[in-house]
Amino acid sequence: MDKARLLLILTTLAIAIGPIAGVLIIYQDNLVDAVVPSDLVEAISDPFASETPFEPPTLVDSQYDSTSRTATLTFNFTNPLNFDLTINSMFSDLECTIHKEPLGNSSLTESVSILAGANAFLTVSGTWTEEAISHFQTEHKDAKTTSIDLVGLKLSLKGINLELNDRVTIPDVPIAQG
Amino acid sequence: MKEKINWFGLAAGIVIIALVAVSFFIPWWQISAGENLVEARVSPVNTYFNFLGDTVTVPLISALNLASVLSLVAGGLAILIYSLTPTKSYSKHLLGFSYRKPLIALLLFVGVLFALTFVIQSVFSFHVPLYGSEISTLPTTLTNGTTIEVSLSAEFKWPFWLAVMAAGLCIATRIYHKKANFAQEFVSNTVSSTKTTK
Repeated sequence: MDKARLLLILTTLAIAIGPIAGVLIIYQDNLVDAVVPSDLVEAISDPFASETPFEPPTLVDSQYDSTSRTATLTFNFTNPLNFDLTINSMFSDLECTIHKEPLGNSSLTESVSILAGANAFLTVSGTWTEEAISHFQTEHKDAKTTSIDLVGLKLSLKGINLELNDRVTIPDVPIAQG
Repeated sequence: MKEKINWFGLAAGIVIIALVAVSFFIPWWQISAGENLVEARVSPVNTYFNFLGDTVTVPLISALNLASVLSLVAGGLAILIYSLTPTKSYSKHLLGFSYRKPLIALLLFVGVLFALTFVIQSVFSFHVPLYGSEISTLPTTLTNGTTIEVSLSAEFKWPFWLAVMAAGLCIATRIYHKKANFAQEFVSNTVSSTKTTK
């Protein structure tokens, strides 16, 4: 066989097989790692790679405007992810946790950016309906606070829209009594 | 005898070497989910995956990238040498060795992209676009009932079209080699130099 042709054939074989053979030799004890590395599996199964555990938002302040029937709640939230997060919008219906009575809806007042592992304040405003006021006056007559469920919570963050099917319960929400 | 040059081959060789250099920095194709929450920038010579802030390296893909780099560089150099000496005895071997490489890299790259998107669609019922933007919904079986819509954006970058051009130039080189009778020239030159020697 022509020497040039033989050399080129050997070169082709070396190029095609060499790198792959090298990887197989390096990972011979765990070939799966060569295809699906363990850090990828960890990243997919647990996106909370930082040391910050996930904790639900904590209610730190609340205000109520009886004229507009608007409650403004301020939550403290820690970003448990290892990348910065921007919550562009949040919207949900509100229901009484105990009686499942529709009370109105709530939304985020402005978008919030939270650095990885850091805290931020989320301000949510909710407007009680007339029916909600009646419900508080009849079913929660002497109560100053009650537990409220966020139903059908929709979140928009970093190009992803989430709609939770589960209810999110917020305890001790100040309620209007007229 | 005035040495002839296969100009298509010369152009192909330069384009292939430039393609390899550029492809290290600019991908042939890239896709991002959300606002770069998940990102992939791929080419046969370099692959970059970012998943929720973590850069992921797949060793087997790195090996395939290395094989592609070596293959394309070897092909580019071979076709350059051929283009400057197309009538030599070894030239047809250099041409045969080199002209298919960009085309094979291109076809394999596109084939793998199509296959991956097809597999993801079939297995996860999740559509991944090859070009353009769209909003895809993750299957609820994977999200514990939560509805998650993700905006996806994908595009072919200009090095991909440079690869198409390189493949085209290589095929043109092969066609021109035959049309210009470079092999026949080698035989004629060999016969005439043998007669002269006698």
